[in-house]
Amino acid sequence: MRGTFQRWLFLFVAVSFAALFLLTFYVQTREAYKDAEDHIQLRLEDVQKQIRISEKAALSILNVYNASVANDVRSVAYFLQRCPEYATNNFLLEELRKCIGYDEIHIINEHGFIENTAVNPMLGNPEKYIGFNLRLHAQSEPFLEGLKQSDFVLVQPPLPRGLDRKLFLYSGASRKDAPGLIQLGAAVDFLESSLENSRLAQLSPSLRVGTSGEILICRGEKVIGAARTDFEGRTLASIGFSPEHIAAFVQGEGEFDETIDGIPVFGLYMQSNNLTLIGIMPEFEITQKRNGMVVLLVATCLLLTLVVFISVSKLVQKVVIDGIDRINVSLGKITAGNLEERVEERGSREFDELSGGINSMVDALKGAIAAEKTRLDSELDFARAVQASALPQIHTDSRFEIHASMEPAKEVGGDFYDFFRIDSSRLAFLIADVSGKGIPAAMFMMKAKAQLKSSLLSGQGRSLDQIIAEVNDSVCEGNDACMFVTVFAGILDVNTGEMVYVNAGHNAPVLRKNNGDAMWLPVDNGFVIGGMDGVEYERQSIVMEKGDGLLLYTDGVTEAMNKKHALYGDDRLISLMDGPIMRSAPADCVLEELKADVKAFADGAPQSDDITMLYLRYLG
Amino acid sequence: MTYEITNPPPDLMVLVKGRLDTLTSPQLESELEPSIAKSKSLVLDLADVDYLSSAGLRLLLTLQKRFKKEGGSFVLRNIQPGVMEILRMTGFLKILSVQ
Repeated sequence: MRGTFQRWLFLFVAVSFAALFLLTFYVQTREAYKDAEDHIQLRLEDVQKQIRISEKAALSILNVYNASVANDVRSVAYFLQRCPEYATNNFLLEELRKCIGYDEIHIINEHGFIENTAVNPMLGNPEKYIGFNLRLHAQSEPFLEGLKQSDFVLVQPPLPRGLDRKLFLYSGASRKDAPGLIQLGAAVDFLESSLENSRLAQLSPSLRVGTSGEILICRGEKVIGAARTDFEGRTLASIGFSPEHIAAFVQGEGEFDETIDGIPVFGLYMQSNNLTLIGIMPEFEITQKRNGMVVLLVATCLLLTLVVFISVSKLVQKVVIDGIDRINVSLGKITAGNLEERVEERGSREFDELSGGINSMVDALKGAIAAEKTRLDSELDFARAVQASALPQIHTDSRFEIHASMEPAKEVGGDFYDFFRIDSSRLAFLIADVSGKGIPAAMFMMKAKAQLKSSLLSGQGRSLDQIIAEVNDSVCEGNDACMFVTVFAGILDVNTGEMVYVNAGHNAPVLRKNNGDAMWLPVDNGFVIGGMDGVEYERQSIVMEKGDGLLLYTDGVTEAMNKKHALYGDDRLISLMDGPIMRSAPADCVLEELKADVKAFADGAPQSDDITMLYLRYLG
Repeated sequence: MTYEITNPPPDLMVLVKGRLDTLTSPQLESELEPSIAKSKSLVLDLADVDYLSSAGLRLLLTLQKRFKKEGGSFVLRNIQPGVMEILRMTGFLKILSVQ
């Protein structure tokens, strides 16, 4: 019961905690990814915001630069008004260009043609600009407006130019000295790259996400900013992003799973000012917190399982199983026959009721047994009386005397004896001991006794051994219980003293010679009666002389026990019978002596078997 | 009374110790029944049996009849003198096989 309970308890607790564990694992994983997503999203937005701020700052830097360029071009217009020779003299114009630090100065006439120019020798030959018509180019056309207005100033945004597509900024103003325009040109690659550099330099410390994640800033497929400097300048494909992810990155925003340098990462991406921002975080960092949580949970669960399991099973043991065990011990005693045992398991209503129920049941059983015993006792007393009344006790004649006695044990036993005349000259006598005790033995005894008597009485013409064999076959019929009886039977011819006898498994009788010692009657040990049919017996005979006595007895005599469990024994019997008193004593005295000696030997020890004896004395 | 099965069925051998009386003989009979049912021969070693009551004799008789009926063999061995005397006196030696 305890084992079953513990198995179920363990199963229940284990399943509960397994379910709790799985639920926690699932929720924690989801939370971890959600946290990571939120974190990356926030960082992306921060970076986006910073990029915007930087863009704004860059724009204002550009505006200041533009304003200074506008000033420069206006100043050159005023300078040429004062010193017009610089506009016409090629050498002077070059001096001016060098002096103000621009790459190009173009002097344009009122028709929109470049008529004089100074160009940084690094950028090419000035000759190719002479005669250039501003009307013919979309980029330069807006400047023609200056031909109509006298205070015209224009600073164009930087535009890529030439084969190398380097950024170039043109500014222009209307001439003060003559109709026409002045145009200044400067290569401003430095401006763009320094703006971008300052932007990324500001950002790079903030490109970290968590401890090992980061944000990649990409222009197209090229990484231009990252926390890891070795990523900078590389293409996304070379870092390890798959082509379909790279294709998705330029589209808008979303999330993705990727493996970078063999490490699985989770990431988000978004667009900002023509840049793609990609935030990534390794999965081990995402699940780190969850794993810690799960380890803690498992440890707590195991501890709780142990505590719950032990305490609940101890409690059940104490409250239920111990009580049931004690009741079972009591029930075991009751079943073994101790009806005095009381079940006193208290402490709960159920146990009170159970104990009370068992006790009343045992009381009822005791009552029933007592009633049955009373009935049985009276029936056994009756059976004993019937048994005793069926046995003769004395038979005397001038030629012999025969006495017998049986002291039944408490239980109805299977001993019996019998003697009767077959005819005027022959006396039949016998003693027998049925195996077993109680009613079955008594019934078997009745059957054997009746069979023996009827066969001996009707045995004219047949020898004693044949008669006993016939009795055996008859008793064997239907003897399924394998009961048997040991028999010593004899027939005495009262005229001649010849005694014929057959021994079927019984104790050898004692022959008390009148003119000598007591001795065992020589007997053949024939098989018991009722054990097996078809058995043959041996007939023996002696001639009894005047005064000779023959003692027949059952093992109730020789196996009488004293308190030390010692047996009365054959030796004590033969030595008693050998005593001089027994030589000529009458039969009743011999039996009284023997009974007294057995009683003296037993010394108050309870009698366990019938004590049966028969003494035949031949008087001649 | 205790006993020990020294050889399993179908050639059953049983070593019996103690007394074979009214109480122990039916006990031995019922406890050996499953093994006996599977056996074609039985050897009872009575080396440690010092007392045999009529109930013990009845058990021997039952076993003898049973094995005889089924054509098997039933043998007693190592019989102590006291027990041997009982078997002799009751004529059981005439029907039992003894080693």
